Amino acid sequence: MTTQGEPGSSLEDQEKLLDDAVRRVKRNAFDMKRCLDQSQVMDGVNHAGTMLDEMRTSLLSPKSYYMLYMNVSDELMHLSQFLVDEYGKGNRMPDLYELVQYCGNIVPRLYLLVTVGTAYIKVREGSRKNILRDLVEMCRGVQHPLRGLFLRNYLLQCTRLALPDTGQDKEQYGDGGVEDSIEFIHLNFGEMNKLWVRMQYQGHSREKEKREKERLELRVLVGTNLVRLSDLQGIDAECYKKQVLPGILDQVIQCRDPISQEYLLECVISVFPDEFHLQTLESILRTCQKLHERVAIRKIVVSLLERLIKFSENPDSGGIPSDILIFNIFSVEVSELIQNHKSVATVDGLAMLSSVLNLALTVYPKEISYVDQLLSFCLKCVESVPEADINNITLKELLKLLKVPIDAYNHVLTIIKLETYAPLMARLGYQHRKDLSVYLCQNLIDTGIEIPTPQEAEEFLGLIESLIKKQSDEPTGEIDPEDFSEEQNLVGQVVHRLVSPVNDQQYHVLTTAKKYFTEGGEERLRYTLPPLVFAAMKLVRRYYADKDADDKWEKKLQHIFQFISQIIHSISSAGLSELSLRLFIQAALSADRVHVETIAYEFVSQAFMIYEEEISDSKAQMSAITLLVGMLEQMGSLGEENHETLRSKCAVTSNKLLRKSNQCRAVALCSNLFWSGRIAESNAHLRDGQRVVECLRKALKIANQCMEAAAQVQLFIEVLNYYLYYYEKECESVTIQILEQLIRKINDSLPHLGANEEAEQIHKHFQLTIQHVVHRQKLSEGSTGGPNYAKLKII
Amino acid sequence: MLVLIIGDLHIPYREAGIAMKFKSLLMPGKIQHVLCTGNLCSRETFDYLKSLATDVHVVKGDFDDNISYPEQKVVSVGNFRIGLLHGHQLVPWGDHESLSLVQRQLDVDILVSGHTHKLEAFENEGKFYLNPGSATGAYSPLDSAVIPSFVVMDIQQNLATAYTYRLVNDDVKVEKVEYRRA
Amino acid sequence: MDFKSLFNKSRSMDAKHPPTPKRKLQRSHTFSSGDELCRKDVSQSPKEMSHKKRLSFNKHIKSPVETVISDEEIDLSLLNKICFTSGVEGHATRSVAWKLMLGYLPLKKDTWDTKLKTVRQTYWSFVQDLVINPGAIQAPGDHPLSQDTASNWKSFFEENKVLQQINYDSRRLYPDISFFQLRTEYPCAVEGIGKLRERVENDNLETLEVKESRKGIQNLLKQKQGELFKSISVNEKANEAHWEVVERILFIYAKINKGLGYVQGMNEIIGPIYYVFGNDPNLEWRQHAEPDTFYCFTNLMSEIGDNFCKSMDHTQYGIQAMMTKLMTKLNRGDPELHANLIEKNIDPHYFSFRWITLLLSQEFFLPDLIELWDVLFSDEIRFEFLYDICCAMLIIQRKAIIEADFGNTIKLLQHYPETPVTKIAHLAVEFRDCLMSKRKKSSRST
Repeated sequence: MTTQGEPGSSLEDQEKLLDDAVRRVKRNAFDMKRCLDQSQVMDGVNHAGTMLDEMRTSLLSPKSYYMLYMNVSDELMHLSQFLVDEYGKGNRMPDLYELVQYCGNIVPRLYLLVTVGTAYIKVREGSRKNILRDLVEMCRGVQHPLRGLFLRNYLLQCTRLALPDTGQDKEQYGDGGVEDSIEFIHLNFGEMNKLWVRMQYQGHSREKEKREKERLELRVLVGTNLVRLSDLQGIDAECYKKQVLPGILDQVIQCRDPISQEYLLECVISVFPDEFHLQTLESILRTCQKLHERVAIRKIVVSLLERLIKFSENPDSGGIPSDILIFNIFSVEVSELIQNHKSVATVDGLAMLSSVLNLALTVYPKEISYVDQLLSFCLKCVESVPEADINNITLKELLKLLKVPIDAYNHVLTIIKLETYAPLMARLGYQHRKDLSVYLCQNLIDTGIEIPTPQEAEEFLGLIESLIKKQSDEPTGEIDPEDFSEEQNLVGQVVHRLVSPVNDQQYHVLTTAKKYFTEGGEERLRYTLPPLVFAAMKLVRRYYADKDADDKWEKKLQHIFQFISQIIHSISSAGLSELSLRLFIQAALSADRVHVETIAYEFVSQAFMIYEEEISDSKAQMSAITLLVGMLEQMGSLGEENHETLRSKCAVTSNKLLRKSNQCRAVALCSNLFWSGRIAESNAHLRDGQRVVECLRKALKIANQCMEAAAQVQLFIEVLNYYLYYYEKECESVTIQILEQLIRKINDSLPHLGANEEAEQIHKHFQLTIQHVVHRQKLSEGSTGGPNYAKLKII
Repeated sequence: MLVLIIGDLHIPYREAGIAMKFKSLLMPGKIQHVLCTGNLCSRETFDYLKSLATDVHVVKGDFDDNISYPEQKVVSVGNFRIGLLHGHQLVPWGDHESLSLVQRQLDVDILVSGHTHKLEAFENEGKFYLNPGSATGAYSPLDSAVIPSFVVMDIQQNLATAYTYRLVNDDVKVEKVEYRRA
Repeated sequence: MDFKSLFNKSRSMDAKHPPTPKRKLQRSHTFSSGDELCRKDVSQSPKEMSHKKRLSFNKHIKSPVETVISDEEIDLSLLNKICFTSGVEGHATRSVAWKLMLGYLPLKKDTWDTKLKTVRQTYWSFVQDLVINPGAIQAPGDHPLSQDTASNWKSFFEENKVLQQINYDSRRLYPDISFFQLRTEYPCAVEGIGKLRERVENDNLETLEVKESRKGIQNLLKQKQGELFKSISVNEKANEAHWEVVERILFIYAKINKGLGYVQGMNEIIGPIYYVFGNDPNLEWRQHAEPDTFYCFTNLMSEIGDNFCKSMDHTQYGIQAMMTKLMTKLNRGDPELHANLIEKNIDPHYFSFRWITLLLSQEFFLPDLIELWDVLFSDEIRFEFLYDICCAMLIIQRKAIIEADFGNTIKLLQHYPETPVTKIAHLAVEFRDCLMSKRKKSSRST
């Protein structure tokens, strides 16, 4: 059993109580409608009064009471409609408004009064203005929170279409102006809010949570007042600022109830138009300062800011008027909040500032000073808090804030211009700093922007320092190698965005980068330095292309080549010998293409030195000598003397390889150097057929020394192909006899291979070689020029 | 069957990345196989190719330090045998006759090579030779005007159609070359 | 042929649940002489065949269905009646009977030749015209990565999205029998459209790597996975499997019926039809299994397609109405069982959605299912009898259902126990007749 005055506790109780009450409502409503149908007005009103007795209950929970209210207000519609219809028939009932006041109980009496009163307004019986004032005053008679709230909600519901507004025809609607409506709603709103707040203090304090939940369920009742206000056409921005908002804010401040304050402010922000908010920003933000400490002020401010950002982005809105210094207002007011309001923590402050920053970037995209101002305020905020109090959540918020301008500007050069950006970034922890650096680099890569001056390069590299150098606050312990290489590769990509259109400046940009990267330690330089080598080579090409406009170009090129040489040596010192050998080869070709023979020669000799001193694995040796031969074949700046030294070096080195098969292949490869190799003096290919054949003969000799039959035949076939290659190029030293002899040799050896997949491939290779020869023979048949195959006898 | 032929990206050694114009063309779900002539120079570049098609074949370029890439490879696509190598192993670099030496050795219908950063698609003695150039237009000491390029090859029975994509002054130019297998 | 082995299986199943003597007699008859006949048929032209048939009359007595379909003008209603009451024996007979019952073959035999020739040609021109092969079309400026809306390549990739699903569903059609994985004797003859499956399947290429041995020999070596792959891929690449034929039919169907498109489950409907046509001992028919299946499937879908259409679900033709119909029938025939299902909150959606939309194709072994479809297709008011069969299936399991809780009932109905289809069919007939007499009684009493 529940005691009188306490709502029934269990769910079943509530269901039963509600069912019973609704049944009684239906019965009485039925009687009421029957009487009304027979035009027994007073009897009908009496039944309505009995029906309304149900609204006096204290047993129902707010939810059940709401269900009951819905039923009752539906039934009252019939009464209201009846009264309006009767009037239409000419049956006037002037004393009804007086008569219902004799109803014994206050709750039914006031419901009836509201019903009759609003019917009077609709039929223009009496002064609209007076009736409204009368009704809203009379409703004070019910002070029980739940009953009072619903009664006043009924009042709002009945008067929805009856409130005075501008643009109405007084003859048709009755007297009164929009100011009367404002007064009416203000009064009702104030009373409802008081009732709503008072709910909090009913019952046991241990049921506080339940109470708060119930209150939240009822908040819409209070908010409806604000919706009514926003519906009034007669309210413009000026009126809103002077008459409407102050009354609401007074009520908000005075009630000192956090639930009410938070809800009502959010409600104000969402129901009134943005144009109104722009006129009243200060009042709202100042109100925030006076709010209870349990109110989530951050949520309110951020939602206001988000609305304004959307507004300013909307092309139809006309944007934010220039006379409203929106950024100033927000930065001043938000900083006041952070400094003076107890409940606004640093993290909330940063979140609000993030939104202000977003707003500033949307509304004033060109005003970098605003952004800087805000950032410096953020910095102050963070600095004012003892370091120990700054937790990870705060830093995460700061990281988010620092990403805002990156996304908004999409231009890292603008970020660099923000003076406070770097100091603020420095406040982040190691991991967050690195995250932000990666974000910056990615933005730079994706946007394709180039960083043109040494100063800007310095600043950018300074920003992403956590990726470039070891940091003092770096945690010790295992680093994920994949993550590390991914980050470092990103830095490598950045190098190709450090581009100045001015050659000399580009040189300084690269030296700046080098300065940074050489401090990065050995584990980083394998990623960061090679890109720098290639960037320098690109600059070499630029200087050379502009050489007619710059008489110091040779000197400058020397500097760059020195720069390149230093970097490759650093890479080599880090133990990356194969990489540095390849870079020296690239550098040699780069120098060769700009015809600086001595430098080109120097780079080649450096490559050979690395080969001799550091490369011992036979596979690596083979692959290095292959590259060296390929490189030398391409070079054209070397004079006969240097070229001779180097091609002999290649041949000798090839001859010294460990494995016979490698020796054979490398020596054969060297034959190219004597054929298509070029020297500077004549700028012509060597075409030294004699030496070509010597090389190939040597290769065959080595092949002969191969113990393995299959390997031997394979090498023979490969060398045969070389002979054919030169024969086709009309190298006279390659004779039909040589070809026939070698073909015969191969034909003799092939049968001894046995039958396996390996041998099959060798057979196939030979078969295809012969097919090729036959094809060439056919081609040469009719023609006079070209190599003569006619005499070559296969088999 | 569509095969993407791409290579010499050199990210991050020589270039920051593939141009957006190319990236927006290369969407997943179209290409079934990727043949890469090498010089990816980073794992991320490989991952990018992998995002375009699950079957990715890479040979080792002179600047790849991934030891699991082979030097040369032969793949069968429908009726075609395709040889794949980077090309720095041949002397002279990019020389057509040297390439035909390899074609005979590998016994392939199509030989794909890179290294020169110069797009080429030609037929010689009934065989087809493809060089996709450099997809990033990477720096090469041998060529001062590298144009970013790659190739998509459509293979149907005995017909291979190579669509060549080049980025000329920020415009994508597409041409096609057909090769019919004898 | 595993078809036969499966039949053997169903025969041995029958031993456990002996069917009516009449059916048993017919069936053994089919298998002995009928199969022998089939084998001979394979090597002979149709003319010789009919001659042979006549010669073997002393061994082979024409079955009632054979008799009906050998008439110059076929009495469809008689055919239906006979199929309904005594089923069809032999693949050759069934193949023709289904084509008649599904409205593909005209009733006048002398019109068959011209009609078949035309429609089969039409089907192949569909294949030729509808399968986009952008590589074979000379469209200047078009290329594989084109983002142009008019690009053939772009449409090609759009199409692949549907094809992907069809490919997946066709490939795993009836995995427990090998037929669909075997190669067809009649692969697609249309030139230049390529293999559909290759458009959406991503096999890894077979690769060889050049390796240098310690002896200095450079050789092409297979990668381990490549070798494993070769044995399968060579087998597949050279030929076309039956499932690929099904894939092509479904793809053409989806392209022609853009409104409905392809819906999962269609594969289960087309599978048995193609199986019957593709196994026709008469080569004259068998070689045209693909176009014939296409038309029969299309006709069948025009009757049951609404079941596959989501937007129709809640209309009077949609699946929801069908399930309600089933439950109403059950309630009239076996109120106790109905009440039991309702009480346990068994939503008919849990089991009968699949039963009805897929014509029970998921509930039985293929040979059993085919016998069941003989009956379903010969239904005078088509697919009315399906509900009687579903009710019969429920009633056969009534004891188990009533004893089971919610979970076990669902399990039982979603994995319907092996039951001879003849038993189900007989009970379904009884059930139907019982409902009919009830209705008559009730109409008389009012």
